[in-house]
Amino acid sequence: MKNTNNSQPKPGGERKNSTAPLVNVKQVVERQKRVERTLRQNENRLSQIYDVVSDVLFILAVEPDEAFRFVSINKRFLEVTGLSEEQVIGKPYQEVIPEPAQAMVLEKYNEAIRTQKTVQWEEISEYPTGTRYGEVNVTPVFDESCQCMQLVGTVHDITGRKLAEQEVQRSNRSLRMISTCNQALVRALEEKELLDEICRTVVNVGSYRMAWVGFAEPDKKKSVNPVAQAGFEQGYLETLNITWSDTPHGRGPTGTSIRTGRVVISSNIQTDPALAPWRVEALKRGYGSSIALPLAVNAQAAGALTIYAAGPEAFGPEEVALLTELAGDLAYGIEALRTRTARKQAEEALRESEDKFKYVFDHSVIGKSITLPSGEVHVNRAFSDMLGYSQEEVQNRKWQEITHPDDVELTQMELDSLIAGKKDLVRFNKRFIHKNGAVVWTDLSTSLRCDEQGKPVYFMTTINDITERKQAEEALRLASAYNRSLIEASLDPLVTIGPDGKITDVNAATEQVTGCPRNELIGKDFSDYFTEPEQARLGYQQVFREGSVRDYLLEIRHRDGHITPVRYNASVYTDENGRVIGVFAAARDITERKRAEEEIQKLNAELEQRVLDRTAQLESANKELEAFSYSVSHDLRAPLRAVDGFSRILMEEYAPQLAPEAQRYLQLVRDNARQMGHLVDDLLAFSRLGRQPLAKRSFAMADLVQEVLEDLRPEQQGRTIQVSVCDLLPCEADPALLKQVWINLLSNAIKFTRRCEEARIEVGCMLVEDFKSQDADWASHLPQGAFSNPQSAIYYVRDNGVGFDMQYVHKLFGVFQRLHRAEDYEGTGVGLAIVQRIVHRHGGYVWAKAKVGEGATFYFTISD
Amino acid sequence: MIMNSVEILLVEDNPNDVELTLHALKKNNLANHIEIVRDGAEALDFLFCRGVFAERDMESGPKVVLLDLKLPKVDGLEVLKQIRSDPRTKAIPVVVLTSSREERDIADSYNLGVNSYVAKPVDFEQFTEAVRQLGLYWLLLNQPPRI
Repeated sequence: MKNTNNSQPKPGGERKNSTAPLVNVKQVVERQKRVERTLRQNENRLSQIYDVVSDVLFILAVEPDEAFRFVSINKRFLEVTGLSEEQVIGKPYQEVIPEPAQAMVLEKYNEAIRTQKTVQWEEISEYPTGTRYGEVNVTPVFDESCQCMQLVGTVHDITGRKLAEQEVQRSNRSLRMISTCNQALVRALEEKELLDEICRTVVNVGSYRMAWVGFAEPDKKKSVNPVAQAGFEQGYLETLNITWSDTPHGRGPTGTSIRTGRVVISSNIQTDPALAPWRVEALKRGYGSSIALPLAVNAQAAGALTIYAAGPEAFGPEEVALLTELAGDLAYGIEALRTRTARKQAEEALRESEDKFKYVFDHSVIGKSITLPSGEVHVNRAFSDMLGYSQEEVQNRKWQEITHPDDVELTQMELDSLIAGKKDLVRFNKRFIHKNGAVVWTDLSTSLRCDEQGKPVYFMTTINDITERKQAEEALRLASAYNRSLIEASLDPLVTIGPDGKITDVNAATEQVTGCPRNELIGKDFSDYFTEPEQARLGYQQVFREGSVRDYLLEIRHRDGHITPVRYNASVYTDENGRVIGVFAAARDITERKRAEEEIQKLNAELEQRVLDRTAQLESANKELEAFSYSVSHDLRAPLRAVDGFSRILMEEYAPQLAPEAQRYLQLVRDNARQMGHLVDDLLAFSRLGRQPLAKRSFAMADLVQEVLEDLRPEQQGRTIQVSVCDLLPCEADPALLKQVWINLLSNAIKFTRRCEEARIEVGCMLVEDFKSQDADWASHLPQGAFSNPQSAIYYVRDNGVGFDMQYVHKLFGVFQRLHRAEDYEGTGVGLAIVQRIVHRHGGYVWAKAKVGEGATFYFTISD
Repeated sequence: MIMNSVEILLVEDNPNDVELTLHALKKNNLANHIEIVRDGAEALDFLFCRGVFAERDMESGPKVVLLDLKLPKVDGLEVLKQIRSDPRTKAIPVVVLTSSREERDIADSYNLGVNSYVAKPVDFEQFTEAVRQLGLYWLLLNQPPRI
């Protein structure tokens, strides 16, 4: 190497010490000359060495202000760098050494000068010949004044070794990277985390400059969405706009890789045309080359892992193979994670669904049960409550144990039809047995859940307690059956008629009377079955109008023509809202009754005729009797009057001619005539009583008695009679006739006390009940009817006269019957007969009690 | 015939009663002007001056008719009815003097306008007394209307 720029060397000492004294200039010049000579000699020697060594040699002149200028180089320098001498000699280092290395080179130069020692480093430089690795040694050369004049440097080319080293390193790194990544894959729980981890590992362990994962979006733009990255990125990804479409932005390595599913390598970003859209930004960040690795998840290109290396040609075949494997592992990891996540989500969803189901099952107010094919039963609270058991108690029992014995077979049948797949759901009313033994009616529905193979998994059952409804239904059914049985049992034809006049229901009796079966009758016009349809129609119309009819006469026509006379009673019936919905009509067969009526009419007519006949006979007899009485009245008295009259005339006018005995006889004639007159009068009076109508009214009995006593005063003439009248109850009777009763009884009392020194007559009245209590023997006196009313009044007349012998009491009230001799007590024997007749005509009774010599008591009652 | 006016017309079919009545009247000096007829038809002939009594003057009485009810031919009530139906005789006092005490007879008689009804007692003293009083009353006390 020839030193071509040595004319004005500038000693470092001067630079460092410019204020050195100029006293010995001469000496300096002398020394300089010497040096120059020596140098020249050396130079020739060196120059020969220079060019034969295989290392690069160079000399840099050290100038002020850190200016280092090439002053000498060997041939090797030019070979290695590919530069020409002109491009190097005299040029500052910045112009020769490629920029990336400049900073480091400058630092090393200064270090050598400062430390005054040789400094060694390895340097990578890009030259037109390629990347060169060199082991650089720079040694400072000082002058006498310790000024550094030059830097002498050698560069041992270690490119070959370096590359081999790097390859090994890189392989190691890649293996470590894959190993770490695999660990991450194994550990990874979450996709994003995994991707970050992978990117980090790629950068940190794999010593790549940057790594990122982009997922292919299924959007219209087919954009690639960065989801994870690591390394020196500095906003690079934001600027990318990478797509996986077949467009310039999609033809980069990442897009192509996703699109094609292949590994795409860009060995030199600086020169690769596919990197055009991103080149500037990529180079700015020191990316030299890149590799895009497709991530195939579930056999689909889901995205890509893109890795950037600092230098070009960074991805050797071995490395590519490893990275491809890594990408495959990553894709598998993603797939596994996604599957796991999906499964987890499914599990979660299932769990949630189970939770919901369990909640619904447990808290439902509707009874639910799940029955496993093994017979195991799970029930909810509502179910067990319904049957009075605890849940455990139900679960410990087979379903047959809690089922009503009569429903076991039915249930089994229904379950079988489910198992056989004939039905998806069965629903029926089932009876359970409550813990307390009661029957629980339920509305039960069961469905069978099968697995995919169609194997039964469980029965799901829902029950509702419908016991009350069932009981109501049962009661209703019984009531209905009862009602129906009543209706059917009725011998009367019964029908119900709708507002349209159609028959809606009939009983058996109606079938019989019409000769038509029930199904034929229902729906027909009611009126069709009568001899007079119009009359029948008017009848039910009247019921609808007025609510009811009674005793409506119609005639039902049997299909064989037989006519049944009936009497209808009908009324409307209503629904629960009181709306009239029909007529209920009951017919009564009156055939018998009609016949009976006719019979009665006939009998009545006959009877009437007989009564008429008898009445006529009676009337005629009565008339005869009347005529007889009339005759007696006239004709019997006249002769007596004549007897009496002429006897009297004889006695008066012919007395002197008549012997006393004759006169006495005449007197006897007259007495008998008069007696006969009394007899006739009494007899007529007695006979009149039978014919005379009663004129009843209320009056005061006491007044009547006083009146009679007054009338009888003449008969008491010359006698002392103590008459007492007690309180007498008023009565309702014919006063004229009652007066006759009192006259007869009282005149008898007066008459038969004639011989008493102290005659006592008592008139009184008592109630039947008092009479009974006073006289234990009352029942022997008269018919029991006399005492039917305990509040009836009994009137009596009591005297202390001669009385009579009770053995003749039965004769007492007979006509012309006398218990005393006429010489002793005059009378006709009709008086008491008259009394009895009057009392009887009033519906009363008369009787007497007496004892000879001790008086008599006559009792009578008027009708109750 | 006797042109003297008749004071009492006695209508009585029973001769015993006629005699007893007359006896009673006589005893009381009331029998001066008595006409006796023995049945209803005769009584009507007398009163209306028919038959054997055609020449009788209707103006000449009687002052009173003593009428039995049970009479042959025409009975007493019919006689009474005709007396009351004719303006010439309707004012004549009529006393029913009969054996009947039948209510029906009494009522019928009064309905036909009888002036008095007397039942003949069986007892002769009572009968005599009744006839006496009748005669006294109707012949002496009673003031008949002027016809």
